[in-house]
Amino acid sequence: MGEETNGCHVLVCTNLDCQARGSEEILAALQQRVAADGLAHVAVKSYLCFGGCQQGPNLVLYPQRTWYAGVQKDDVDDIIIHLKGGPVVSRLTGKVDAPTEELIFQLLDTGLY
Amino acid sequence: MAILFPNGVSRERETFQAYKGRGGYQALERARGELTPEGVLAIVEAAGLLGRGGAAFPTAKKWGFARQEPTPRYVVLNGGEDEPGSVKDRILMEHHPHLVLEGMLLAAYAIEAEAAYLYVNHTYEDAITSLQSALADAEREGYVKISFTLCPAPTDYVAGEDTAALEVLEGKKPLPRQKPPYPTTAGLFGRPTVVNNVETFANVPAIVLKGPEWYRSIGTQGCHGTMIFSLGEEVERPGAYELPFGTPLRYLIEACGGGLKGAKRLKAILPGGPSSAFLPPDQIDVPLDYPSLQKSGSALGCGIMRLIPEGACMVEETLRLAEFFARECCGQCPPCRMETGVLKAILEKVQQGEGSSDLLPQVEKVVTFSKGKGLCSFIGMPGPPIQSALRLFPEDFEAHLRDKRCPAT
Repeated sequence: MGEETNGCHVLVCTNLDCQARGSEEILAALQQRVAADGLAHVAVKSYLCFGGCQQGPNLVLYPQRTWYAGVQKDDVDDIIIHLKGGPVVSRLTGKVDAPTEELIFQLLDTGLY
Repeated sequence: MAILFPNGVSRERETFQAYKGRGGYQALERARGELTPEGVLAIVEAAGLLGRGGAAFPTAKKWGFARQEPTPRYVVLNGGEDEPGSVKDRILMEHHPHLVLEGMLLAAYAIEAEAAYLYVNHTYEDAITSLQSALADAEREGYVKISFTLCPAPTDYVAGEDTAALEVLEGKKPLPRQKPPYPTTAGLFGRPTVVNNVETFANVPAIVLKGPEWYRSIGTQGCHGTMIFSLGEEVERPGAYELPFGTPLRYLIEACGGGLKGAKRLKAILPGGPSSAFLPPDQIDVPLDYPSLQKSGSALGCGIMRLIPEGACMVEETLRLAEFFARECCGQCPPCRMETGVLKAILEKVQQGEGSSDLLPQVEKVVTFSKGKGLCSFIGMPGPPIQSALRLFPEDFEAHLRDKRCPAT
């Protein structure tokens, strides 16, 4: 943590459920696109678990505090656009209950990523 | 006063003849000759026997629930024993297999069970051999009237949970089931099933033979009888010690265990296995019984005492526990997976001196968030030891975070 606090983190859950739903492919696709498009301020990393397993694959953009759930490979283009300053991909938000989101955001605030 | 080990903890397998010689199988003969199944149940109820697997549930109540359900009913010996540091069930099965079998046969008689299952930690080869050999003896002598099946238990921590054990007995993975229904209603193959810990069964023969009044004269008013306590390598004389409930912890540590190795002073006590709360050294005189440990802020669990000597670092101790829970989480329930993973990540950060002191309050938030959200009790286990360590030894955590040093070095 710490070295890229001015940048943006894309944290992709790779725990059992999300992994079974293809999160590792999404992680790889995002990493590839971020590198290819030269988004130097963006770090794409795997995350241990957000506890939103029923709605996975989950990924969180931090410090933007955007939680994308039920992400598919087809969504990668729109997420990249968001990372370039485009709109939030609203079809992927609001799927996880608010207390879970808030808990995870608080954990991320303490540097736990 | 000892009930299970009147001649001390045996170092070798007690033979059928030796067991018979000290009154073995008399309780079963008495039950079958003079008592109805309900009569046996009433004796165990009057004795107030509490389950020794950690939850201290009244044994007769469990048996009674199963009896209310239609037959066929089953009895299961839970000898999974995956609690780190526990040796008691192994000793009982390996050295006193007839005592365990007689207890099971009495339970089977009381609930009118049709079949019995021996679910034994698969690494306990000698215990498995002992039970098989004892079973053959008891069958030859005419004591066994129902079928017995032996099933090796995987060593995953959750495999010792009663419904996970039932899954394994049905040939599936050790994953806890949703409760209710409880095993006494819908257990093995959906039938009413009594699952008891090894030590619980081992208490039954003496209760039936000598009666509830005798049993209630041992221990405390609320906790009758004895319990086997496990002491680890941190004391001069590690091992299993049977003591009446209510014995002060100091007696176990000093008189039985010979004190901490190298005459070290005590920093903390983990009195009931990895899911209990740490106690400070001034609690050393706490009586070893369920209500007293609860009053002191911890739990007795299944009697595994871990003693932390002065000079040890509680960050290291709690990180080890957090790693254990993260590793042993079966992965079935998302909040449990998140909780155990996050607690480990928090403590790793603290141990490495990374992050700010804002990390520490996250422990309580994660534990509170997860409370009651799992299928089994596992989700509630990491909280007590980690939260109590934070409360009792904040300076250890601060040393790592603020001064970037481990107090143990």
